[in-house]
This record gives sequence, structure tokens and C-alpha cells, in this order.
Amino acid sequence: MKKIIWVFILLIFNQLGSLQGQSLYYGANRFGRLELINDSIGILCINSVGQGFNIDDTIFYRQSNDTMWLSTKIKEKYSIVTSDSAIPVLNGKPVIIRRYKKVSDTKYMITQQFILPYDTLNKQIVFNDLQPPLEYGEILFFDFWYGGKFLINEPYHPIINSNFFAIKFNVALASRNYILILNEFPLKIKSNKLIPISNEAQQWCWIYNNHYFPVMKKAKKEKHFYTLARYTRDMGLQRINCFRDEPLIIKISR
Amino acid sequence: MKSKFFILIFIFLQNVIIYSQVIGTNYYGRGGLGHIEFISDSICTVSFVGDLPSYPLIDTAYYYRNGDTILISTKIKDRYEIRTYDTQPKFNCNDYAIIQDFSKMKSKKNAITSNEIISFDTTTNELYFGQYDYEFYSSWHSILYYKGYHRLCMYSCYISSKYYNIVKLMELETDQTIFLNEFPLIIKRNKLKPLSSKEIECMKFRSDNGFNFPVMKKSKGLKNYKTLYIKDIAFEGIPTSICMPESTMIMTGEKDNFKIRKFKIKPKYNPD
Repeated sequence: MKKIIWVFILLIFNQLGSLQGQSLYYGANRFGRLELINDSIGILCINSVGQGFNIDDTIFYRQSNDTMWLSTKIKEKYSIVTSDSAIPVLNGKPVIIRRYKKVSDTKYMITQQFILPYDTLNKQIVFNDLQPPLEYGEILFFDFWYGGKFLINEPYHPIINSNFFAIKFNVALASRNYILILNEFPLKIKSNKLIPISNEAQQWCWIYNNHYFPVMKKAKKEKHFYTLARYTRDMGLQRINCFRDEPLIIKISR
Repeated sequence: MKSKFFILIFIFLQNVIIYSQVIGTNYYGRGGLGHIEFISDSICTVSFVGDLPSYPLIDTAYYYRNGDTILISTKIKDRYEIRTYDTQPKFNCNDYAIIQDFSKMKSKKNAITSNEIISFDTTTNELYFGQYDYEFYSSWHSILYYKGYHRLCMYSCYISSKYYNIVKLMELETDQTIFLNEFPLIIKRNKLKPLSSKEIECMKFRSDNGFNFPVMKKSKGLKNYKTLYIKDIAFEGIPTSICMPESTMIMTGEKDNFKIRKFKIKPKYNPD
């Protein structure tokens, strides 16, 4: 009888070990760590605020056949308000805003820079009669501590046709400096890997998290891994290479 | 008596020769950059900057001779005027401008490293630097962005954050494209030569205008020449108005491990 109990206990431990092995993933080039805790919750560590200060974000996931969708508790960094008339602007700390236009698949061009006040009461930046009007696919960049990129795309496209609008910052972000935002991010489960399958979702991940989601590979044991150093304010579009190699020479004919 | 007469004639002819070397002549810069035309004994036109498409921008300048040196000035001599105050001056801020510092990266390309917001009065074209607001003296290569890029290369000797400073942007008060303040050019045979690039006059010219004044050579007739694109002269090191996003991100690991990783703007993940 005792033998049977011991075998049973060993089996349970073995099962637990293998379960843990199945739920631990590391990103390609050791970028990030994902641990699936149960059938709907996991912990994703992909950001840090400095050496040894990794940030663990709780993620929620659902699975259907060979596809998994990841979401964070806060799914949107911004919300928008549109109006038919000018929106009152309250005084606040000035914020540098840059507009970027996509000129090719891999290049963006800075088209405009300006400064608007950040309304700390309503946690918003008001745009009254922005000229030229915004176009689909443009990026707005807010250069302040919990700013970042804002893509003129779904679900924010109504601001394209609006002369008066405000971009509101999620209040939860104001109380927390660093946060991962995922909204039904799709991953394909293949062999022992989790593979991002949507370029649009990857673009979205880069816009709001400053990195692409890596291909994640299952691991049997804990490993050393890398995280994105958010303290460097390295936001992809922030430190722009803004200089010509050679001056543009214009030939004048007489 | 005769010898005195000949000496006078000689001096007169010498002056005529020197003047004739300048008046009514065209000078073109080395490599075909820029054009100066002396119109009268005090007025000339200078053209070093152009706009697209192939449109030269020509400034009127004033000159006088001192021995074998010509000193040229434009109507507005300096790109900006700085007023310094011990106490807080009255200032009407009705907009903001952005001051951007830039430096050379490892790739030997210049990149903007910081952005500062500066109070701006659009009616007087003045910037306001409050006391200790901005450590301007530490910044050797700054550019200003206000509805386009402008030169703002102020050196430590010109502005100090110990005081209040108001900087008037003369560039916005005029259509002038370059700024010359008694800029010396030495007449040597059929050339006009600037001083060494290490001389303060040449350093100031480069700081104000973004390029070194070239050696100019006399030409008998009108020729084709080259100009610098006006949007380029906002900068030291000639940058561009087109900016590409940074493609690297810094990753940290355990202990002292960190690495810089390049990423593509458009990823291609296709598991099938």
C-alpha cells in the first residue's frame, strides 16, 4: 500500500514538473520571459527600468485550437474625444508633439513639430483645428514621461475627419510608469513555440510597447534573459537620425 | 618735381588698378559654390544659398576697402541679438519653440540627443531663457525648431544660464539668407581669400551661416554656380529635414549584461 502511495506522489510531482516545463517560454535571442500560470493567466516579463529591475506584467490569455490570444488588463493607452466646436484648453505643462508620416515600409518622415499644453485635470491634449489634418497611418509622438506613440488607425480613426478632438491618456498609466499593453495579440502554437502571426498586431505592439513581440520558445528550466530598458527612453522614433550626409547642392544656371 | 608727379601718377594708377580689380566684377567660389558681384564702390550682391527648384537667393551687402582687405557686411549683421538681464525682464510668451541639441553618434552620423521647450514671443520674434532654465553653455551645437529649423549655435561666451536672457531671432525679421558682420576678404591677384578657418571671424561666419566662406575667384563673365539648399543651412554639419526612426533598442540582462539590438520597422513573421 505504501509503495502505491509513493508511486502516486512521485507521479504527481512528475506531472507538476512537466506542467511547469510546458508553461515557461523565452523570447528569441532571450528577449523576454513568459510564464503561463494557469489556463487563463500568465506573467510576461519583457520590460525593465534598469539593471535588475524587471517588470512583471500579468497577462490574460485564451486559446483556440493552435492559436493563443494575449491581453493585458489595460488594453488601450489612449482614448479620444471628438467635438463639433473648439474644446476648451486648460493651462498645463507644454508637451512637444511630433508628426511622422510613413514614407515606405521601413521609413518614417518627421513632418511637423509643435507644442501643446497637457491638461493635467482631464489628462488630455486638445487639438483644435490642427493643420494640415491628420491622415490615416500617421504617428503622433508625445515627448513626455508617459507619452509615446499614437497611431492614426483603428480604433482612433474618427479624429481624421474631426477639426476638434482631444487625446486622453489612460489614468491608470499616470499612476504607473511602465506598463505593457496587449489587446488580443495573436500567437500561433507550433511545436514548442509561440509565434506572432499578424504583422498588423506586431506594428501595434511596436507603436504602444516600443518593441515587437518575439517568437517565444518553450524552456524546461529557468534561464538568463534580456528585457527592454525603458529608462533609456529609447522609443524607436525618439532619437531620430535627422541629418544629411552631404549638403544638398543646387546648381544655378546663368 | 617730375619725380613727385610720377609718384602721384603711380599711386593714382595703383588705386585705379586695385579698384578695377573689384568693381564691376564677378567672383565665384571654389568648387563653383557661391557668387559675389561688386556693383558699385560700396554695394555688392552675395549668393550662397538657394531654394528649390534651382532658384538662387541673392542678398545685397555693403563693403569697404582697408588696404588690401575688403570688409563685407549685410544689412542685418548678426543672425540673433542677445540681451542679458540680472533681474527677470518683462516677456510676453504666446507660443513655444523647441531647442534641439545634437551630437555625432558612433555611426559618425549626427542625431538629436535632447529637446527643450523655450518660451517664444511671436510678435517680437524673441526667445526667453529664464535663470537656470537651460544649461545653454554646455550646448555647442543647438538648433531651433519653430515652424521649420533655424540656426542657433550659441557658444558659451555669448549666453550664460546665470542670468536671464532674451534672444531676438533676426532671421525671422528679414528675408536675408546669410549674415555677414565686417567679414574680411583679402584681395590677392584675382582672388578674394577669407582668413584662416581658425580665426574668430571665420568661426563666427560658420556658426552664423553653417558653412565656411570659400576662396572666391574673379571671372570675366557670368557663369553657372552652385548654392546650398536653404533648409540645410539651419545646421552645423548640414543635416536634413528628413528624419528616420531609430532602429535600435537597448536591452538589459542580469548583472552587467546588456546588448543593443536592431529591429526592423516592418517585421515579417509568417509561421507557415
